[in-house]
Amino acid sequence: MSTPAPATGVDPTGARVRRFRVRHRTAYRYTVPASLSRQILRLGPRAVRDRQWIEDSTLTITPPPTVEHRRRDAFGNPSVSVTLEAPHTELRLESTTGVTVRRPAPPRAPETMPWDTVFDRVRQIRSHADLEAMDVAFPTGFTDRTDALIAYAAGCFAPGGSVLDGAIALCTRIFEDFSYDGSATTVSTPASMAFERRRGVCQDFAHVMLAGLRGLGLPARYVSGYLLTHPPPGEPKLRGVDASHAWVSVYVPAAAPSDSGIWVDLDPTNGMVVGDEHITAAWGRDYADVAPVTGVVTGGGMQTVDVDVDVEEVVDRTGPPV
Amino acid sequence: MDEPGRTAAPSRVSETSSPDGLALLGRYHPLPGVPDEMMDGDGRIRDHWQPLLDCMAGLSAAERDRRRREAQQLIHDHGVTYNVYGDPQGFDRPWKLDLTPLILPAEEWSVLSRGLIQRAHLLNAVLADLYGPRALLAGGALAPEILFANPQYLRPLSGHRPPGDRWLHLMAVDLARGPDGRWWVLSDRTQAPSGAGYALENRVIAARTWPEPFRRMPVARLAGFFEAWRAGLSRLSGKDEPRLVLLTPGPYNETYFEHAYLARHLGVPLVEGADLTVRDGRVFLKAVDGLKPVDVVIRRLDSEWCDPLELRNDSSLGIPGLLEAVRGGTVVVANALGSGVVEAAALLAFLPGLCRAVLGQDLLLPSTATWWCGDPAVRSEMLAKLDRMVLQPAFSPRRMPGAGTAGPAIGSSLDPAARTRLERDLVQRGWDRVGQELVALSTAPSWADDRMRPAPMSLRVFIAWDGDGYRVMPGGLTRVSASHDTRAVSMQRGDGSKDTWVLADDDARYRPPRKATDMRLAVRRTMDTLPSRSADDLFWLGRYAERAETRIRLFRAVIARLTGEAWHPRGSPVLARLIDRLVLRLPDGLAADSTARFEAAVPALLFDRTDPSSLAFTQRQLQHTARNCRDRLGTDAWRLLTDLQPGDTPEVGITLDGALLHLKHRQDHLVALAGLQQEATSRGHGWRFTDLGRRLERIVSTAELLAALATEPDGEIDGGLETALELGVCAMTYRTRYGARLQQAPVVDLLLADPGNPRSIAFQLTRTVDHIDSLPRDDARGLPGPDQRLARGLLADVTLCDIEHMLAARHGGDGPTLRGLLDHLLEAVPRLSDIIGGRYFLHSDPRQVRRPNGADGITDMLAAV
Repeated sequence: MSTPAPATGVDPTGARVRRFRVRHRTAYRYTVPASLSRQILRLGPRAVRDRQWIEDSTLTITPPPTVEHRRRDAFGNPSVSVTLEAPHTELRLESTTGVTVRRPAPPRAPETMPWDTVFDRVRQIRSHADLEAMDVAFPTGFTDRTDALIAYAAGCFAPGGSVLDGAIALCTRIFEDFSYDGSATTVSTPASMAFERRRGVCQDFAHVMLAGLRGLGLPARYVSGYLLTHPPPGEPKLRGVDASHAWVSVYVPAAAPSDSGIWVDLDPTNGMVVGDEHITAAWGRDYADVAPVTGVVTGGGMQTVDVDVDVEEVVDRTGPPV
Repeated sequence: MDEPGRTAAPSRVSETSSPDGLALLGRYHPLPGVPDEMMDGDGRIRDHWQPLLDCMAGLSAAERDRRRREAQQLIHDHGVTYNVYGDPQGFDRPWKLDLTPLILPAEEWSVLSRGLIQRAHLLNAVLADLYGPRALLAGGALAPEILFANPQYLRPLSGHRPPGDRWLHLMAVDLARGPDGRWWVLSDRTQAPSGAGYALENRVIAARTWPEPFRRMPVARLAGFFEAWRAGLSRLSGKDEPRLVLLTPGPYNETYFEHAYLARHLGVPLVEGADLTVRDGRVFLKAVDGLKPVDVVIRRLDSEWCDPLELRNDSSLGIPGLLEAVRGGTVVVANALGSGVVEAAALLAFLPGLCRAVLGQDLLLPSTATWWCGDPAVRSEMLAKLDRMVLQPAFSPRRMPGAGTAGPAIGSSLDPAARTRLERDLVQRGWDRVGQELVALSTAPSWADDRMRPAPMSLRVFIAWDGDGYRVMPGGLTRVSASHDTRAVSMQRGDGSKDTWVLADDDARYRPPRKATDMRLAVRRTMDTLPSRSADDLFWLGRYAERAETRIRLFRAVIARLTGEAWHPRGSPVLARLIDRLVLRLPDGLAADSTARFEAAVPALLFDRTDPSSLAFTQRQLQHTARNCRDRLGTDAWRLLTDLQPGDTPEVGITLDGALLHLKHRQDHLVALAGLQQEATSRGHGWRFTDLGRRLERIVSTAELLAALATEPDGEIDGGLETALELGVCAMTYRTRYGARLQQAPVVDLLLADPGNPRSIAFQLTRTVDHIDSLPRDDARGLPGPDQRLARGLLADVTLCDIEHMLAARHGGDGPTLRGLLDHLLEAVPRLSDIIGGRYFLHSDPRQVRRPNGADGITDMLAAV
């Protein structure tokens, strides 16, 4: 996005602006040498129009890949494809990014359009944003629909009620009804199964919410990213304790024909509207579109993975951290 | 020129017909209200059918039956098959061909062709827009759901432009003739259409069955179409001599026969995903002489399976990194990946408008009346007239995640509960369904039990890009239904197909095409590229063919000793040893009653495919290997291999004489196969691998033979040496050289060390060394490889040994014994085989797809709330 990043502090519109440094380290270790490895990395963070700016970014891959190729995927996420042709027993990926985040204006939820008119409105394609929204309006392998799940979501949307009121209600309902349980699901659990169990992790919460929204004809994205964490009061912040995270971005079409619609990010894992401590890495239809690392390895035997993520606020002279 | 079809007065059956001919057509009545291809509404034969009917009716019933049987034999000999998924009997099901062709007149065909060519241009342009600017969506000519809800839309290729903006290189269109006599499109096949090869094979057989009318009628020829398709692909590659490959999912695919057939017809290697690799953004073929760049991939694998890295990650059929190469523009994939988007039934509802928006023309060829239920107004219309509609999935493949079962639903045959469910579905996700009018098919005469009957039919036609434009194959695959239900046809239900004769309007159109003249070929004698996997299969083809032959000789020798003069009520040590070799594990070893046991075991030894010691087991290994390298085998070789089917145990059991006949028959085939391989196979790498396999196998079997029968001086086992000569196929040579006296040293020399005897181990080793020396190697220093060292060492051991001295030596004494030498050979040959395999064959690729936990570090999330 071409506009320069605002300075930290408070911008002229009154929105808070903060700066972070995100470090994402992944290490794979193989029990026997991997002879050929191809990986696609979507580690982000990415730029988000009016919301997020990338200051600088480095990616270090060890051992150095034979081929490295950068592009933007269909959703505009930066993606790096790497090929390692020399045998190796360890692959380390370290990405460090400086990112500026502006707190989005609090959405005026009651003023958004009635949810049951959204789909017919978006499919008229009045803007590029409408096209992007249609791209994420339909079920996928992870956001499969069941009658029960649709009924669950529909309970949050009053007839003729505003789309954002409904979406926030669904976000809150999932937060309240579901238990956070890292052992209940796997990385390939579809929404229908997580819904039946009413348990899962952030990926499952996001998939369930997406399946519900799309089942009602509401376009929404799966967003992967990072979250700033706070140490308990009086304790120093430890490195590596921050996390990869996932949430949902709901499309709210513009009422006026000439305006572009907006995306509002909601975090069902935390039952909150996203503010300025969520850092967007990539988005797509579901987890499969944005997996941070996906690859095909020849050889390698058994593998172990270690991941650690740091999100650190950068304090500079233009303004104090808020 | 005599054109009886044009001038003859319409008649029921021509004057010339025999009484048999009258029976053929006598009671032919088109179905009420259904147009028939051959007979008009007044019961008259259409002119353009007359020459064929004259011919058929002019033949006696016996002659017609002879031709039918000959055609059946041709289908069998050519190995025309298709496979049916999920059907245990479905593997290699013989192709069902209804021998009467469909005949279409020239004027009708030229109208149809114009419509088909327009359609190919239109669909290609729609693809270019959907993966590019998407102006059709923003402009309202096409509903956005048709792209975004379409499971065939490959997002990783969004923004991609294939070479020459050509998405469709070969497409198929299924047509039906409506009650008004016009052709309607049932569906478009743009992904990886099948049938063109079967159409070509149907032509070969039908033209041979009815040579008289085929010669008299101006039937347009098919061959030029394939050349044009190939030329179009070559031009898009931008190379003078591009390397093309045909990518198949493998022998278990339902149309694998056709993949191999087309690969042979086009002269391109048939490859599976594992045969290809992407290096630095280019596609390469793994060949015995290294990685060879590939310029064009003709794919018969659906897009979503083509790259496990970016598409379906559970696919082991694809090539990791292919999309990267495609986006880099280094390879032409035909059809372009992602082109399945325009197969969607929903698109049919938009085509007239799209044709005006994209081409500025009216759509020439109508589609089955189709309403896409994503439009709220259409939805209520569908619900109102559900009884006359069939509801179909809007997209191909016909399922969406979470959609449950969404097969076709015929409105009038729904029970109330299903109807309610359907109505609710339509409201909730109408975009996933289309309503179509029930399509009535026309009928064409189908010939069975020597009667012509009207059978519902549809016609699949093919359109290819030739480099300058689209052209239609002047013919097609006509499919007929065995039932009288004119509503649907399906190949998988086992119904038949027909050849399609398109009558040409001028001479030039049906003459066999001249060869393409755009490029002069330089004369060369270099070998074609041999994929590593093919080398592997050809090597084992040689081994299994030789193994089967050896077992048959052994089997015959045993039976001869049980039935002929050599039979002795107490058996003989030679017989026991032979039986021991044949039956790998007799429970009690060389028990006295092994003869009786053998007789009881004969059916199992011949027919039990699960018993590793049976002939059927070896035959099955041979067949399996042959199927995997089918594109490398000539028609004659394939026919011989087809006849080597293991067969089933006869219900009445089998006598020893019957077994002998069974064995002789199979031996003849194997000997003929070996002859073809020696006399009709060019000396490329492929031939070398097959022959190498044969040689190594024969070293093993001859060494085992000598070990069993010739390590003792004659007389120690009665008839041992004689049997060794018989099984070693050199009894005649021995007799002419030494007369009737059998002694150990001459026998061993002949079988082991005589380089002039083509059955001796020395001879096999000489050939082995020659083959190994001729195979490509990448050692820059020119030193012999471990395979060369091993083979030359064995050759020296065998040719330089002093037979008489060796036979005089005893275990523990000085110098090598015969037993020692044989043991060494039996240990070294498998090692040699492994070295060759390790160097040249495709190593099983323990490929693993991993999606590491994306929401990793997730256990910290609670702290983050």
